[in-house]
Amino acid sequence: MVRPLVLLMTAVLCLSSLVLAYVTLNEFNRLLRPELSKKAHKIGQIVNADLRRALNYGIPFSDLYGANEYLESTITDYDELVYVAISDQKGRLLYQGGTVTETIRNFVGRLSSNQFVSGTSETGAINEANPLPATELPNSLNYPIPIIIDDNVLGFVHIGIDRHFAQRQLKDIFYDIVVILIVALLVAFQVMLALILFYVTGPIERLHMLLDLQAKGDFSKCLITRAGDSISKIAHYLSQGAQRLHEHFQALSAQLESMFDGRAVEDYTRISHRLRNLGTRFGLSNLDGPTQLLRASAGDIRIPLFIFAFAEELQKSFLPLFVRQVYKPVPWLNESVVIGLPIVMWLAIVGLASPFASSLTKRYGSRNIFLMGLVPAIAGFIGCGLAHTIYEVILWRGTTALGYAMVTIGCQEYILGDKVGGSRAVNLAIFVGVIMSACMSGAAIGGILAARIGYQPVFMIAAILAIAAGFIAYPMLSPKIDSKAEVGKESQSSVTKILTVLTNSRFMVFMLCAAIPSSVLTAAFLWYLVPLYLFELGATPAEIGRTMMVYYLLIIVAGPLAPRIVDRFGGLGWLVGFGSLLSSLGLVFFYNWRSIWAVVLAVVIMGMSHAMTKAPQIALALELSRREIETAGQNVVLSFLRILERVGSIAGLLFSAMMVHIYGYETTIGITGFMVCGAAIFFLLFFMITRKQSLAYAKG
Amino acid sequence: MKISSKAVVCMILVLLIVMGLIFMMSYFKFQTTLATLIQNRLTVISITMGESIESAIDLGLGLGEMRTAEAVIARAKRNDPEIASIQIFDNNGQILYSTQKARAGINVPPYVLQALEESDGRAWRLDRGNSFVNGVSLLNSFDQMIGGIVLTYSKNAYNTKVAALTNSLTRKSILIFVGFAILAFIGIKLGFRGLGRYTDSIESSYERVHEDGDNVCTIDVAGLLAAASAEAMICMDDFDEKLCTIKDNLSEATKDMHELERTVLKTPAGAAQPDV
Repeated sequence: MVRPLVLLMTAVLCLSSLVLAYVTLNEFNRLLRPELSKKAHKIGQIVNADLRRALNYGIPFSDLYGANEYLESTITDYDELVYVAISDQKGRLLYQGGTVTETIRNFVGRLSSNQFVSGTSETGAINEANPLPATELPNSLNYPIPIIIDDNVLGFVHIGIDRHFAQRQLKDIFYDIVVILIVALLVAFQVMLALILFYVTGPIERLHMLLDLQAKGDFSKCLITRAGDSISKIAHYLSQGAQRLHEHFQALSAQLESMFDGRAVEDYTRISHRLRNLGTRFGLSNLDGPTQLLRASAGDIRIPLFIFAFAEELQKSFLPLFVRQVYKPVPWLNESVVIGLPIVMWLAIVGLASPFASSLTKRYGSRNIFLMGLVPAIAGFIGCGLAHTIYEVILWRGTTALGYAMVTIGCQEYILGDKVGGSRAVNLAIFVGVIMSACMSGAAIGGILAARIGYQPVFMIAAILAIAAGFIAYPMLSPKIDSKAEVGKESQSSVTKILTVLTNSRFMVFMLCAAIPSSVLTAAFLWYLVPLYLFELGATPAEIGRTMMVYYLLIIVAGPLAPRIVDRFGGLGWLVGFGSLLSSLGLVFFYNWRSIWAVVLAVVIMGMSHAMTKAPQIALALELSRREIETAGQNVVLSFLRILERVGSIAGLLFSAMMVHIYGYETTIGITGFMVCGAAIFFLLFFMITRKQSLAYAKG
Repeated sequence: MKISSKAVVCMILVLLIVMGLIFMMSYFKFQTTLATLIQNRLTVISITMGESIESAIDLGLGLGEMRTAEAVIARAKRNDPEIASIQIFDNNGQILYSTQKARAGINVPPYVLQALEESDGRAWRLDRGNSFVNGVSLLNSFDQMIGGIVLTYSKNAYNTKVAALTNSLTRKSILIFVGFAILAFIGIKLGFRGLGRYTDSIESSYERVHEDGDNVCTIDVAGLLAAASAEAMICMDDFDEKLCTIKDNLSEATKDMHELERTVLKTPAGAAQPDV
């Protein structure tokens, strides 16, 4: 059902955008042409005046030295001009600047002064208020201005305006329209999927679960419904039946208790036993009646998490530029480091708050943590929107990070709950997919918005979206979903657990040479260096957003290929090692090419590599730390992985910021690339050498 | 609200947002493009006037001594009725020549001198809300600035064009939106037909069970379960079969409880049973 809906939506959005773009182009042409015409005549008058001055000095018309160069320089001054040409009385082209095609020559040849009656009244009437009409040629509009000396038309100045000028102006926004379409399709896909799951698939699934239970004679569950549709009616009917049965059973139990007096103990025991069997057989033992059948799904988090993450990602493409705007010199820190501090603060707070958020979620429930997390997040967005100093930006980004940690961990714990349908792997994939889609959309749209309305209003929009996420999360997230507490060795303290992991050399090499460099590339290169460097190269915030969008788009599109490659070819270690190596090659090969395209190519290569390695990295981490998982537990290992990644990202970001101050952007990008490359090579060599050891462990 | 209606609302909302964004971007782009075109043309006019004045200065005339200056600026104003005023001022900001006679002798507004100071090149331009302001500096043969020209251009024609685009594009956008919204509506209604048939069958099962009671489960004339009989007039589907099984389970549970009640209370047989 979802696929036809998505296809319909794609068709409707694309076609409507095309039609609107076509209509807009026609309107642009219609309304801009008079202005272009005025401009053409003004330029023509200037050229005409300069020509007449030269001719009045007695220089022959056909011998104007330097006329071609003069006309060429006129072309370069005005973007909308294609050519400027001068023809004589007979229509012969004497001088030209710009691109004059055969078609134009033929047209000019047909236009001669004999077409105009000589005489003051007619020639005098041809002026700016009453110009000669323009002629439409294949790629230009030709405006002829007569050269009149002593009431004689000696020739014409032909001004050629680009016919596709309006189209070229719209080209600027064409890329923005494509980005908006992609984001709209992603948003609509998420919303449609969530709608179908929440209002169709979910209720039908729950109804069938209840039907199956009651068909087996189990009346312990019921469904609480508010909607008046047929599914809800049947669910209500079945629940009422179960409720009445429970009431009858409770009444019977109460009667038995009250009739205890005067009964032989043997009689009472026998009857009680029969009653208990009856209760067990038909699921009537719960004193409070049938319990609500809870069946949440990972799809419940789609819309609220997408909207929240989208709001958070709006700032991604321009945060360093915004920080630079409010930057004032700090005596003991250079500018590049200070500009990186808000990102550092964000990474640090998310890293520190995540473990606490996880334990709070187990205590208060995922939905409550999601909603509570919105408070600091919204405060942070508003704070950044009103900030005037770098310190305020750092403070509010930290506040936002706290909210982000709570919201995302709340959602993660929700989908890992034992009452949530679907496998853990699939649910995690949904979670990651939603985050990636939001990252992609947010970075792109944030750039477009920032280019139009400025940086700070975008933070306000983020706050509004976060509030909307809260209103949507409240009905969509089930309040009673908890994740399983992991059973680990209770006797070990947290410190001991962490030390256990530290002694695993293969795991630590993987962390230091593959996982951390990957995070460093994302934080230091993509989030910090790319916006600043592209801005220096002259890119607009919208272009920066599009470049960053490419990274996330590749993760979404190519990410699902990674498990297939692993399944087909095996070798998680090789995939992660070569992926890490590849991710740095874009920086290594193109760092010296001072061009926006160099950055785009580096981002593309990095995106492809990270798409291949993100999920396998987690799988490899778990594989390398099997022994530690048995003793410390999987949660500890994964938490350690995340904390180290965050610490590495922060260190890498600060290092890059210092390098930028000393060596500039190109060299810093090159150094980062070479370091990641070197680490990847070391990882591959280490992995190759120690491979036998790990095979022996797997067998043993 | 039916799920298909929700899907229609969702799709229409997304369509509205996308078209709204495209409309807004086109609107802002048009404003920028038109303003740039006008300002470029005004720059051409200003530079032309400036060159004309400078050629007289190069001949040795002082800026305050030019008799042709007024003619130059008057001709430029005549050629374009939208030009509100043109002034030539010295490097102290005092207006020497103006198309508005009353302004001669007074100083140009401070923003003019500020723009002159801040400009990188010879020409500069400003957008002052209800007019475009364009200007050039005047240089003597030693490349020293001796004054400037400022041209004020009314935004009436510009605003008229922007309003024309807004009206025309709004009308056409609404038509396009309505057309595609109808298309989306039809597509979704067709797409949800399958779900509609499913919910209708559930609805009819519910009504049969709720109103006809046992008739749903034993409708054959021989009193057999409909699905079990080869001569069944009406067949049950899986859903009906489960409902019938549930009815049987409820009856069995109730019967067992009544038996237990009779055992406990010695309740007479045929006592009222709860409706299930």
